[in-house]
Amino acid sequence: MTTSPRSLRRRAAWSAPVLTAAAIGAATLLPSAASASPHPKLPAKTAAQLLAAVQSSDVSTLSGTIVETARLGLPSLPGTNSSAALTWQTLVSGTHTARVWFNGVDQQRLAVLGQLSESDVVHNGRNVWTYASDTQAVAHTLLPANAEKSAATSATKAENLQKYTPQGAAAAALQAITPSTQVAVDPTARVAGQPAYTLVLTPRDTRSTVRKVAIAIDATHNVPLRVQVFGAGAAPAFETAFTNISYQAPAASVFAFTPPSGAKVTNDVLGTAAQKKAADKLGTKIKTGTAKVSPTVVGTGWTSVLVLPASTAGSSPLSALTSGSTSSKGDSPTAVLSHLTTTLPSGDKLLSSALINVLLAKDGRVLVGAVSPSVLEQAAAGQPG
Amino acid sequence: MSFADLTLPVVRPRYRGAFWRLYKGEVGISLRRRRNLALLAVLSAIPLMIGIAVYLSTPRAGDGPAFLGQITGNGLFLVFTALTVCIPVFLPLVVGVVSGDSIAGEAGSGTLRYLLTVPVTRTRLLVAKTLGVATFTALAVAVVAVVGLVTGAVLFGLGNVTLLSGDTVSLGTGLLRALGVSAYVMVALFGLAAGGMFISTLTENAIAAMATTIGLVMVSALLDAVPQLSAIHGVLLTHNWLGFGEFLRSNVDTAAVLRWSALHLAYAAVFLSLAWARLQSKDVTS
Repeated sequence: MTTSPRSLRRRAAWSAPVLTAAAIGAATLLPSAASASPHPKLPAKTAAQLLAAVQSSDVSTLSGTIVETARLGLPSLPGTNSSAALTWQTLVSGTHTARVWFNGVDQQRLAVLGQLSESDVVHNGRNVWTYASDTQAVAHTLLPANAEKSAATSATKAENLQKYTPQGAAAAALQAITPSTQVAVDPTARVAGQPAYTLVLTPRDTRSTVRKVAIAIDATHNVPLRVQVFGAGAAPAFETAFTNISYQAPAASVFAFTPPSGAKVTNDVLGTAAQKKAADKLGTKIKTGTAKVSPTVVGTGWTSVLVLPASTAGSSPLSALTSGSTSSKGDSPTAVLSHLTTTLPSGDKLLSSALINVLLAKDGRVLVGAVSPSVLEQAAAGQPG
Repeated sequence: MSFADLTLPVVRPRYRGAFWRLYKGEVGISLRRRRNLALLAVLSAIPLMIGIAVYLSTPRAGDGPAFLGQITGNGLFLVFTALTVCIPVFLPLVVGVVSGDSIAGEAGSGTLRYLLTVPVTRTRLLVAKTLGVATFTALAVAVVAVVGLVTGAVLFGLGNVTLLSGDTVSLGTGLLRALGVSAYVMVALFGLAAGGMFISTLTENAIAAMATTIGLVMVSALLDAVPQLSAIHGVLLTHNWLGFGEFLRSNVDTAAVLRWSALHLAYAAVFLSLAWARLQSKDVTS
């Protein structure tokens, strides 16, 4: 029996989809493979050289996309997945994308991207604007004229957000370098297409839940490109990284923000006489003990524990847990968190995640740290509130 | 040498304009079919209903689907709200019905073999059918956008457009961006339409082909909602459908838009080549 040309042709027809799929696969995979090896071999550098290079980096203009991922083992909290809202819920679960533009100390813009939403912080000279597309609310802060050079530090929101950029996170992590840390340099990373050194910090104290912190630093521009914090798992529990970066100065239009017509604008002026008065009042209140007691830090280095006294913790969403309330609705973050707590023999409650452990003491204090639960218990026992 | 090898090569005379007539016939049939007209009517009713509802009771910012709160200030946002509402279900439904019917409908009613007697090859028939489905897909998106624009303009007026980033652009730029949004949605749905055409070559039961095509969307959306599968989310059929929001940011990431569009077109290329192979090797008996 022979195969007829017709049936051969029929069979040959099926090679078309195979070839199409293969061509598409090759087109997607080849450019990334051809661009350069994923593991560049850079000249060896010590950690000290690397840190000095970062300190002296003269890069003041850049733009790029940052992807932040938290794998804390917490379930995704309600209403936070596609939202671009700038709240704590958005940063502790899931993946979030932001775009940043820097032009010196006077001009920065950050845009947190949601699927069909966006939150922006624009700093231009003395003006700091925040805009949220969900609520269309605009907040405008006028910074004091004399403090223009340190303007970024006054913009509270911008400052909070900087902790989640590679630069800010690297600075925070580098401050934590003490004799308690083993430091190593790996010269074989590639982040956002740039060859990079990786500074690996490993805590010597095993009671810390942080296994290691890896900071990738651009080999030519000395800019931190990625920060990864590893807990017990193989994948980093927290990661923030540039997925693309350009060191060219962004267009001036990026920093020119005019509030949309019809939007509610809340204005705030920093450094006015009225504010100083309010600050002085608060100061006397704290001195006389009428204000809420501020949080304290117990321990040093990797095993530091933040202790929130009962009175300040009272306003946090965690406080509802200590009172064991079950009345909250099933979809509130509090209710979700309450499923995650375990009650210890001492009667305290423990909220455990891949990186951070939270002890909700019976007396209302809340202890937070990247440490094993036993350290939290010791801190709770050693510092009665 | 077997007898089969002796068959004479089929010489098809090529008539000028036969392909164009085939394409026009495809579009004409799909536009005269009452079922398809009803689908377009449903699609046009959606922006109309949203517009009237917003006109009667002003929503607060942040309520309902994206952009809803901005409609009262600028009717152009009705286009974006309507597309956001239509893209998960209504538009895929229309695309699924038309593409699922394209080949299976002809086979089911016994007209496919007559179509194959006209002097065009099966390849050209598939191309004409594909263009017909693509035209209807584009038309479906255009109906939502145009009815949204007209309804919005009449009820709320048009004006400068506030982008997601908070910056304001002129109405002309806003209309261009709306055009970009619509074009992106058309390209995105074309990937699904190609899938529907491939499924349509597998069966003679048009209803089964339609249902399977819509099932394709549901499975993709379902997989997209499982966080454990985040590794494959980026290449899912429906994952980047809402990527049209990129056109409404101050700094449009063109690289991302092109990457997502390339994915939609890659789906289309694979599905269409599968449909072609299936049609080449298919015994058309009805």
